[in-house]
Amino acid sequence: MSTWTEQPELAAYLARQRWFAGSEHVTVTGVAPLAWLSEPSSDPGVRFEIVSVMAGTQPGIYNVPLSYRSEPREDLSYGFVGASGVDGRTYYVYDALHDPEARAILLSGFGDRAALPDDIRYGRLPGFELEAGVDNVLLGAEQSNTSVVAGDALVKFFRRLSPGPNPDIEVQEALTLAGSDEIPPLLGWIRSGDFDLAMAGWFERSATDGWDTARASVRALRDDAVRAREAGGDFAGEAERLGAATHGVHQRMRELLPTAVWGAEELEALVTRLNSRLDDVVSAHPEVADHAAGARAAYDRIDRGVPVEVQRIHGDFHLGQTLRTTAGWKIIDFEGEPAAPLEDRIRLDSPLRDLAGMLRSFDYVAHSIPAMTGVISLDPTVDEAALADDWVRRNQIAFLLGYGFERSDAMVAMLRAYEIDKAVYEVAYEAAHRPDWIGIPLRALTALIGGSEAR
Amino acid sequence: MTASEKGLDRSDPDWFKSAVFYEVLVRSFRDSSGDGVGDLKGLTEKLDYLEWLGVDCVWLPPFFPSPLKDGGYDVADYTAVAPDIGTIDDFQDFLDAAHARGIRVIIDVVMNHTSDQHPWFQASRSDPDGPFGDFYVWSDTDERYSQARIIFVDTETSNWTWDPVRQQYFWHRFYSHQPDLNFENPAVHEAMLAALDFWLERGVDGFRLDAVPYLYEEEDTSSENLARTHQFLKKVRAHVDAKYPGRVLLAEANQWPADVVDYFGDPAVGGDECHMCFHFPVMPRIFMSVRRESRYPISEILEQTPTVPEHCQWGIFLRNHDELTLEMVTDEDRDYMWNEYATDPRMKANIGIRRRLAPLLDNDTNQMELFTALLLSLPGSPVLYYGDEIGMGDNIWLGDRDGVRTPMQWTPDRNAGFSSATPGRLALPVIMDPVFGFQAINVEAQQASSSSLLHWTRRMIYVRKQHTAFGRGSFLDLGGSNPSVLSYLREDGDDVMLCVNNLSRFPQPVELDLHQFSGHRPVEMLGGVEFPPIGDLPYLLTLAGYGFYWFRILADGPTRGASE
Repeated sequence: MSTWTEQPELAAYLARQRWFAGSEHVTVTGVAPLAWLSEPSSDPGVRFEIVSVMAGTQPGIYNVPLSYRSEPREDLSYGFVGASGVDGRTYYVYDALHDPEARAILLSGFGDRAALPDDIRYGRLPGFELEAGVDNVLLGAEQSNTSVVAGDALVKFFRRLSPGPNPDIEVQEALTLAGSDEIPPLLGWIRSGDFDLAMAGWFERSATDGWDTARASVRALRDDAVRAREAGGDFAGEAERLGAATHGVHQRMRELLPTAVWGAEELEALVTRLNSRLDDVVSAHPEVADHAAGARAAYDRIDRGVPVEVQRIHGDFHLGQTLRTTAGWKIIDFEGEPAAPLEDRIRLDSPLRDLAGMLRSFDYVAHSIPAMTGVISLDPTVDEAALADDWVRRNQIAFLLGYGFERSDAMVAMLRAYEIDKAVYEVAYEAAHRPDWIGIPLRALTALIGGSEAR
Repeated sequence: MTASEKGLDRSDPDWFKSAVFYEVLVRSFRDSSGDGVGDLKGLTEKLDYLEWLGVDCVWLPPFFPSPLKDGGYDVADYTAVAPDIGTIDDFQDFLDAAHARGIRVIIDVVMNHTSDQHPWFQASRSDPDGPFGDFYVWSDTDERYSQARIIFVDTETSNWTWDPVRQQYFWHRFYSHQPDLNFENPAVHEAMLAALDFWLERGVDGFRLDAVPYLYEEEDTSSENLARTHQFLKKVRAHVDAKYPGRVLLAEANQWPADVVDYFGDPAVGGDECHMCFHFPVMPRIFMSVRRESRYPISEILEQTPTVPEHCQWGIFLRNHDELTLEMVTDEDRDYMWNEYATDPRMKANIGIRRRLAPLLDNDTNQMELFTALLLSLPGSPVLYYGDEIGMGDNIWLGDRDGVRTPMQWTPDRNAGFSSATPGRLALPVIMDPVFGFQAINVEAQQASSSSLLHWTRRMIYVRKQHTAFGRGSFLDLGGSNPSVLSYLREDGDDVMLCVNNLSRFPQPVELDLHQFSGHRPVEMLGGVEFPPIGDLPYLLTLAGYGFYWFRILADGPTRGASE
């Protein structure tokens, strides 16, 4: 039973959250609570609730674990949802992930599973068991989920749900069981019916993400104002090792998960898809129109006569999906492009799509600092953009070298097409989210289409 | 107890774990006689300075009679003092005066080889059947032990050299004027132990053992780190422990930490070989981390460093009398260092180049302070190199390693206050350039200025000495959100230190997961400033370029949850 469809508080709470898509005209259309993990009488009562909403005209399903307390708690007020009646009693209801005691109850299924209700399953990979009462702490909330560190585990609670197996769990389980050391090992998951609610992986305590790591190098480059290979913060060694780790992951995914071969027909369909995305972007963003003919020509250079091996890929590969740890690079988040429908996220594709994503990410990171500071150059006599381009080239080459990229005509044409496609997508993304940054993909389109094939 | 031990606290056999070491070259520190060469009497005069600085233990590289073809590491007599720097009595006076101030003294012992001028070698080559005939490794061919690498590839082409007197080849892992002693011969063991006893009896507090991995050689091996070499070191340790407890053995084994750790001996008994070993790779990694503005070069090497036995300790250093050592780190597949160095002209140029800390860091005080803060807070006992505490420069025009062995700069007066000799008579000239010259950089001026590098270094040493976490505590790399910020916890019971270091020239923020200390307040060590309390959320700190913090985290603060 739930009263959230009649009360405005839950909808209002959701609308304030970073992981919630949309913030206006939010209504809760239905709530399906799972069984209590802890009864309200034992205070706090804790359960997962699957909440259906309309945000404007967009329907969505969210995972909202709640804790029901008999007394208000001042120190948890930032997670306060509202007061609600259950079985005739009034409870103060909090977001369970902001309530340390409730978090411990949500996690207890990774330990002793005897007392769990029937409608929820806690999966554990061999060797994983979370001790009862282990210290847990909330990490900052992210775009689409909320993460908790408990012991050595990082437990990611998915917020926005879609029915069916979560590709992140599926891929990481396969990689973990095969002993991959290019990812933080998967430890477990929480599932109810058709919904994956959370996944637990090894917490890489010493890690920083690749985006921040690369930016340290770019900052040093700007200050040194020398060629990248002479700069103190040279990143090429890192880029090469990242390429090797990426290759390792791709190879395992090819061995463990479905593969196929694209012939002429599928490649023609690919070109059609690329052109269709281009059409959409050109119609909304006229500044891309200048590049359209060049982009189409580049897509058309994909050699339909050379079959392409396709496989499961990362799907949303960029520096932010990598972690530099004291034991080398790790790759994370195999969910695919978060905004895309599940069927697209698990579609087989060429691993070149991931390589293109990373090549674009090097370009982004190199030009991100002027985009953020608004300072194009610290020294008017130095062409910093050219130095940044030199950094990009050096690290792209190192990455491809570490990956072992085979430089045939067909592969080069396809990689270039994917890079252009990604840049086209970026224009649309930046126009909607970060207009200050739109110059980065536009500049890249000029280089990718008009530029040399030097790399 | 000998007369010389009066000032020492002998109650703690693990004293070396929390000691601050100071390497001083006698010939370059203070010349009392005015002949242009530093001497033991001069060193004794400067003990007040070392006591003031906070030094716990002085390390003297070889001061024995020697032809000085290898900085004195070519020893011609193990139980005497080189005549130009003093006498045995001068040494005893120095040792007693040091002990009276609570300062210990360790000296270098070169076990692997002697000078070819040593009487043992002269006897061995001229009388093969005499008592010293078997003291060295002789052979009729130069083909034995062919798998042992040549260490000084720039000067040597073989580990064997033909001796025209004895008409045989002799074995040498280093220079051809340094024949290796034959440790197969029990008489060599006895001679070496007798040499150690000579100094221990006078009261020295231990030895730095030079080049220990090479004592034995065996066919079809690299002739490094052999089991019998370890057996001999165990024998030395047992001998010293039995007769002279509380003395320390510090090994120079320029190898990967996983191999070096064997020189501590059996962990089950807390270590039964050397008490201390130098940690070589950490030093170039510090330079690399700051050059790359990335904590990973340091974090990785510490991650790969095994735990040491209970009664053992690493020795760490930024600079010493040798070059920025990389030549001997050979295990390439565990190490990306070479790749990184090979592509960076500036780092490449520093391999094998002998520079002091200050010129290596462009005389940037902020970097010198950051490096010193790392030296004093990373796991291990710090070994300072004379002159680096005032930011002394070097003279790259002097040959070999002499560029970093110029006279200590005491005052802005004649010869930097090092000697009253005519300037032209100094064995090594004082530094005179406008940036690093003795008129700009000297002890007197820096002692007079409370904001000098010298005073700052001294304050840091005293902070370190008052917190056992640094010398004896555990080490935990905290990682954190920023790749340019190296943060770690040092913890010894209730003594908890949080060290946060910005390896970048730019200001940096960092978020640290400190929730285990929720409710506690970090207190900054130099100013005693209380920082905001730690909560459950990541703790945010901001640091200036090359900035760092040492915090004490008071363990008796309010416990987690008390505010809930």
